[in-house]
Amino acid sequence: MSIIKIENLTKCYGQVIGINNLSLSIESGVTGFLGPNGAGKSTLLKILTGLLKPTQGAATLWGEPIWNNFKLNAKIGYCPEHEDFYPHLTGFDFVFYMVRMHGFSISEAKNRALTAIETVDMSEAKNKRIGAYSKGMRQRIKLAQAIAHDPELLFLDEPLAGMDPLGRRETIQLIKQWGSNGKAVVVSSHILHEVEEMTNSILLINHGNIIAEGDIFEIRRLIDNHPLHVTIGCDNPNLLTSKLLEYDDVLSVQFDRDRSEVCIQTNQPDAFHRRLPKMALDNKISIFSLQSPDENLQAVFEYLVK
Amino acid sequence: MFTALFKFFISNQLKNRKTLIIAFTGLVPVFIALLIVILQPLIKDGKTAIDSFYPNFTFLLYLHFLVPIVSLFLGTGIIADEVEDKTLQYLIIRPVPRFLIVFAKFLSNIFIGSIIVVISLLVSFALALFGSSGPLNIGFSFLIYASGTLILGLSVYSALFALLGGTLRHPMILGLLFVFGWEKLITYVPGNAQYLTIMNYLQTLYPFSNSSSNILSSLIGNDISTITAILVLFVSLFIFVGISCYLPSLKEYR
Repeated sequence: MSIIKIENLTKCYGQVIGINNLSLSIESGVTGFLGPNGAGKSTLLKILTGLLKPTQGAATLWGEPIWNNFKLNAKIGYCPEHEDFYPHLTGFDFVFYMVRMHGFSISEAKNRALTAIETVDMSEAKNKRIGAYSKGMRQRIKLAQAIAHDPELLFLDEPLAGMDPLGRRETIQLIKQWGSNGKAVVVSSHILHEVEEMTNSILLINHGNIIAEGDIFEIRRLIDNHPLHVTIGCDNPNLLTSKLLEYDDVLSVQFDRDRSEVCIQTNQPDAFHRRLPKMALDNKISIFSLQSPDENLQAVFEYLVK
Repeated sequence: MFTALFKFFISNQLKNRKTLIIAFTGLVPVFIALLIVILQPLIKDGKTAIDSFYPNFTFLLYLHFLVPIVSLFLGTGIIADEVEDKTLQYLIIRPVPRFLIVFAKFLSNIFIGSIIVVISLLVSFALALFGSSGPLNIGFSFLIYASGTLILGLSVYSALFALLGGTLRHPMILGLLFVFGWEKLITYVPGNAQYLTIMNYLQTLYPFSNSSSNILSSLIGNDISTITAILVLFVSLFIFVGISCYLPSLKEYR
């Protein structure tokens, strides 16, 4: 059974549609919700954590409805996007009280809070007031409160926002680790390479709709009909350009003489990649670089949003 | 769960700047009492003045000023502060019924508010004793009855303001209008309109409110029995608390 199941979910804010007739199911492991700001990612996470009520459709966790089902919360952890806190509390007090609300004894809650704080590398600052924390520290303490009760399902809304590169790397490792330990982790982000580093399983969301879902490579296949950009660095861009233009699948060619680069657009990438080595050999063209910016998630996303 | 929530709210409230402001407000009657004690040698027959003045002093400054103001600050914040500060979601995602979150915060706020009001009352009473020519006409029973009435008033007003805070965008403005508009003006309107104020019932319970020395009481001419006042106040309290606690189960707080 899917851990998360959403059927024909719609969420409206007055006249504005936040989520539009969305259906999906999510298993264990790390799943990335990817989309620009305002795409509906946070709304979806808030519905899945029971903070918002669906306007239409159904959202369930382990087959149970979410809204007003407080018992489900024992199994989930949520790291919200915003940075609002109880600024007068220390980091430890905040995590401790949040764990206590899960019904743990004082000593158990203390141990769990300390372990979670250590996991997110906040032990040294645990007795400082949250109001004095940096953005990255706040992000870490938010993560600590989300994981301290050892939830089976974690919702992380922009968990890397405001973190320094080291913090990002550590958090990405943690998220991957939780996913590989059999937990379900749902991460939302608008920064593509972040999600790419955490998981291959993604959902591209825009205007409250899922515009693509699945493995990154499956999504890549979905855009085969869209032209692929390839930049080729070579010693004879003029000759390469003239040879490339002989093929119908090459839609356009631009070359940068100064950088000895040719940038082409093709709608048959596989055929192009098979043909290029032979073409280079036959015409004695030395190719010293081959880049396809379309291979990264940014390009996939932009194609699909268009 | 309830204990954890209650302790959490107490801990957070004690470190909160808003609580400090409320505590300072609690000092206002104390400062006024201190001022009277200091200035009384300048007043003709000052010692006697304090004796007769103290019940009216507490009636005006505690029941009519401090209780509504403290309730307004504490009550409106019960739900509204968590929503405005976007901290409610940290609580709602715990395996705790939503009504319990509001109820625990309500009780913790009443606890803190009561401590502030009662300590202030005790200090001003001590000052009045110090400034009195002999034993005051009032005794410790006055303190017990007054404290009880003030705490009940604090509870009813806070519950009402919690309800406003959970449903309206600017609960403070409406709360101020209610306390210093409706509650004050309606008592002077002929007819039975005064029965629609909380203060009317609290005045009935307040010790010395029916004494001839009480200016406001004599003006108002309260004819509500003690039993009726207690009943109305407790029923109001249960209704306001009940609806306030139930709100987060019905309403989305983004």
